[in-house]
Amino acid sequence: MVTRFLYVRLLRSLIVFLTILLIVFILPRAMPGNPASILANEYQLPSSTVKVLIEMWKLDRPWHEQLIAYFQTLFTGQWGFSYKYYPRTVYELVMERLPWTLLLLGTSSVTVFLTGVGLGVIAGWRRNTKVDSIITFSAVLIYAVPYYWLALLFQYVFGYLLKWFPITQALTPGMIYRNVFEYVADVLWHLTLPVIAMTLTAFASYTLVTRNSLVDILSEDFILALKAMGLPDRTIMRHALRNALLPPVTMLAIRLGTIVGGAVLTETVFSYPGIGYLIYESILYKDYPVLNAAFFMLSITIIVANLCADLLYMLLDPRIRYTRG
Amino acid sequence: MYRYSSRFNKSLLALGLTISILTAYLIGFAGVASAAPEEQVLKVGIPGEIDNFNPFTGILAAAGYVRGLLYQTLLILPANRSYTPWLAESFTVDQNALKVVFKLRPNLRWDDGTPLTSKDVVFTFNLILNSTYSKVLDKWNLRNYIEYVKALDDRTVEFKLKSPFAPVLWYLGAQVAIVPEHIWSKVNVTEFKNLDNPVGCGPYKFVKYTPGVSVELEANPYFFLGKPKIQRLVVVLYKSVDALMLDLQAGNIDAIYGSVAPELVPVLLKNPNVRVALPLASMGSMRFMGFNLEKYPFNITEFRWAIAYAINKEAIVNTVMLGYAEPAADGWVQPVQGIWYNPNVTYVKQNLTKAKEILDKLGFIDRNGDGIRETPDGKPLSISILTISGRPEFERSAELIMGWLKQIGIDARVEAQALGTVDQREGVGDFDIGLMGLAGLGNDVDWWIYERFHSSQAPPLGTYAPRNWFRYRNPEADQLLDAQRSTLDLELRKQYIYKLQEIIARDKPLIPLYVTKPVTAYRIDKFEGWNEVEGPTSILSLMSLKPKGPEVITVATTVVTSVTQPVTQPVTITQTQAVTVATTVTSPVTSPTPTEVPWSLYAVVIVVVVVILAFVAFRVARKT
Amino acid sequence: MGLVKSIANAVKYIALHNKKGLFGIVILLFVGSIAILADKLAPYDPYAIVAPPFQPPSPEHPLGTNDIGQDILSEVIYGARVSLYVGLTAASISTILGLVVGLIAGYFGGYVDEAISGIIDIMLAIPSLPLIIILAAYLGPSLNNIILVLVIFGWVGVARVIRSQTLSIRERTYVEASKAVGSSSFGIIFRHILPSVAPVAVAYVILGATSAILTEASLSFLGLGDPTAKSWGQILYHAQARNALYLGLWLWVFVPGLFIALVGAGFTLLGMAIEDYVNPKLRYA
Repeated sequence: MVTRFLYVRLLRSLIVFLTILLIVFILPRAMPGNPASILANEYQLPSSTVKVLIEMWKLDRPWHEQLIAYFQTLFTGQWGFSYKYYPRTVYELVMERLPWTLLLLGTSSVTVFLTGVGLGVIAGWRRNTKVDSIITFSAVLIYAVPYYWLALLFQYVFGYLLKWFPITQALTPGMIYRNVFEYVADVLWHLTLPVIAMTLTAFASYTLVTRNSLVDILSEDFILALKAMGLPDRTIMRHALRNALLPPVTMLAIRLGTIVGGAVLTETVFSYPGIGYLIYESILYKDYPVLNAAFFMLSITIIVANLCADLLYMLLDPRIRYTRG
Repeated sequence: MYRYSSRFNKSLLALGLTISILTAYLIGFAGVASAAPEEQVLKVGIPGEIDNFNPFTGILAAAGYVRGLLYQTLLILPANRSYTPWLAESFTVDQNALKVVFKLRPNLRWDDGTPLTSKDVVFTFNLILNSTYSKVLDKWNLRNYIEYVKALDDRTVEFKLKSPFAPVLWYLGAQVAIVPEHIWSKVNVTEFKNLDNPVGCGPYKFVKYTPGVSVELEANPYFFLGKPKIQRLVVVLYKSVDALMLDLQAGNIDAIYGSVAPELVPVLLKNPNVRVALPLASMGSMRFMGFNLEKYPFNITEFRWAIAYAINKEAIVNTVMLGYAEPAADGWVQPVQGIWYNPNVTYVKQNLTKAKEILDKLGFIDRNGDGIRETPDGKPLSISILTISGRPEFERSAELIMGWLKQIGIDARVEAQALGTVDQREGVGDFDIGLMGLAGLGNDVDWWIYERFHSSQAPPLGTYAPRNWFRYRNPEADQLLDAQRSTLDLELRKQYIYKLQEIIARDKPLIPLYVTKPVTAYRIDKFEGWNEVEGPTSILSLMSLKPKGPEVITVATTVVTSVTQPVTQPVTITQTQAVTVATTVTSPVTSPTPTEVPWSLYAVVIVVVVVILAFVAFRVARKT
Repeated sequence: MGLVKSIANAVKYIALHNKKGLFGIVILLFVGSIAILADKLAPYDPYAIVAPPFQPPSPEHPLGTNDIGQDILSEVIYGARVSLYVGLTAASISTILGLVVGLIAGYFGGYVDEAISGIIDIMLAIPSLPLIIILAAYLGPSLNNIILVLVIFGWVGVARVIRSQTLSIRERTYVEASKAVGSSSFGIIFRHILPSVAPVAVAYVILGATSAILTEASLSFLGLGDPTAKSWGQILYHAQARNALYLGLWLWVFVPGLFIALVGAGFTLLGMAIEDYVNPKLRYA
């Protein structure tokens, strides 16, 4: 039973993976415009260069040859040169930016999760009280606040008017650091505004999910039984939480795609040197090698995360809870 | 009891953690805020990224600035638009024998100390003309025009032409940067990134490149004009122009390379140490709209004139560009291009009545009274203006034009699409009107005009045309284009170009809208001697710059040059510009403002710490 | 009839018993009337150039003027139309599509269901936002293309929920009974199943509108929106592109964003109230 479930999931992941790769292959190529003439237009290159570039990038080959080459390069890791940043390699570009994105998204995911779940637990535990009302109501109000709008206002108030935090970039440009601490402090200093803005605009859905799932579980028989046995609140809480946290955790995994998409916005507003902006640029400039590699890695990450979420569900499935309880 | 003590410990732990994080934060701020002032370092901020330091393959502008500092050409074309000796001390063009000879300056050296001789020049041109890399490096098809290049002696290089080729000086002298043979003969030129230790011959030599952060350079003692007075130059890379502006205001950089958004000029000038300049040498770029000449009704010359009469170029300049642009001349060649501009060719002023009259005469009349004219065969006259998405300047210009066209009864709409889509649709002729931008006013006029208007560049609809996508075919123009290209007689060539402008202005295959006037900005508190005509970050400016002495200098002269513009036509000075001028003139010279320490932040952090402390103390007290 | 009645009942219930839902309805009525009365409320034509660019707020232009001298207040008022149009159209189309697909899969079951569920599963696992950006960039920015993109990814969630609801209703006795009597599939779906799933569908239109409006605004902000449509996202895009904040014109940024957040909150509150109504287990005072 369990193994069959696993096989089905794996098969599904594989199909999803190939579908994404195919979409990413077909879409940019099906739409008018080729990367060489985009660059030529942008940088006023002579028209003879366009021909050379098209030949060099093998864009004049029949589509099936391109498709085969596409899969070959992706799976062998020979990602080649970026079109826009030629002759810099895709690997170089991705590795230069990936750490920043991981730092930004990692930190904000943690703060978003902790804030969201924390408030959700409080609201759920004190359900139908004033605290609950205030928390859920403000979560709903904040739920639809556009991230970039809040970020812009933060930049204006805390960066421009009060000058507490830098407005953009990940490091102070041109700064020479005397030691590691200065470097770390500078990184943190630049990280503060984007992370706070992200936390404030993204925590709400976690709060609502956690609250609802906690309320659900607190009304279940086994919790009522524990209560009847006279166990202290803390113990009951511990039991309830283990189950109530499942939905927000899976939500975190499933939302990864949205988070990475959000990185495009974050990095645009804060000029953060991460991979989100690189992806956006590669879409606009049809920088195929970068686009392909970025989406390759993105889909792998998302599929692995989804698989983890599935496994988590399997391990903590309610049926297991009941048999043990 | 046990439970409480464990809770107590946890609280303590949490408290300790919070406090230590906050302290680290505070120390961090202190560190950031009090970063020691450095010795004489000139910091130039650039928006953008570095692709490579390979002068043959690099295209990004930020890296282009550094490449331009490292690698030099034989001649330069400064603001006065006449060829000026650079690596070469003199040059001769022999019209009859079809020979061009460059004589290098004596005792030239690369920045690693090795001599720079005619052998390096010959090596560089041979890379382009006849090597395995020619296919990629010879972007301009010079192979078709140059028979050979050879060194006559250590300092003399001779080029032999196959036929007269007017732009030869521009390509040979001002376009090709010379690279050292002792390094470039050992590398794969097309894939050479040259990011580790580029060896050049410019005023500054390479020290260090930190990806995405900065490029550090130091004065080159071997530079042929002498060592620059400022020892260190750091090119700081920015992801956004906002950050660049703010850092210039804050004094973290001394100058910017590139242009300031017009609306920010008054904001920048609030700081008394900041100056703005409109360098003559940065030519700006042109915005224009092209008609699809193979599509009805754009194939009717009078119809295009009607549209020209509907457009108010001054209004676009004053709203979209806030006055930091010139309405463009209708003959394609612009006043900033100096001797090539025919002053008799100006532009059509808005005249909606005239536009309507022309449309009436052509039979485009609103018969059903819905405010939209119909074509003679009864279809509503609706057209689309195709432009690039994500570029507010283009989108807004198109929006304004859309409004005017509606006023003369044409149902216009704006279609903004990704650059690639726009490029392709225009190339194959799937559009009505294309609104595009074009840089390169500083290039040789042949580059500017030949491929754009020659009928050989206008393939039938469906085949991609890179330059002449509006598909202009006029045998008279073709003849003049070919004639100007194959003469080495300057005066004769000028006459051909003059005539071409008249023809283009008459036929209106496209309507040039405006030419931007790039505004740049720099600070006057640490350095003096900025060259505003060539641009504050140009090599000539870097050579005249020196650390600011203790004596207070008068900025009056600087101010005057900063508002001198390449005015060739009467310009209406907008309110913003007037404000700009006034602010510049009245700003006093003051000492640099110290870096602001965020005291308010300290206060808030301290309050937060106190509140947390109080809260924890309260909880602990209540439980025990 | 049953459909209309059940929706009317839901609205009545929410208005009477759910304070948050009522609040949502009030917000939406407010913004909705702004949208409907836009030409009466707006002091100027949002496309007309009525003053010099970059004017700070003044009695004539309470929010100032934008980068080409259009009145920002008028832009914001007309923006209600565009944003509500995009949000409601995209959400309705995707809900109807999801409803049809979900009903078919749930009612007929078997291979049809397996095929549809497979597609739904795959679509759900595909990261939508990055692909939406790709699609929007290449399709070209126009309101209809944005709606198309939103529908492509919007129908999936609805289809999944409707499918499972249909599955459970199908097994109920009255449905079995109609089947036994020989009613047509179409009749059964229309008479018995549709009224039961309708509130869920309505909840999805409402919740879907929030995310459609937010996504449209995000795409516009990135410069992928219709450049001449006066949506709130488009106003923000131009404000950001022309450095509104550094010029001190913060109302130009603040007001359109506030409206996005407000409408989003309104739709969310109402949608949650409907969900409560449908699934009273989570209901709270």
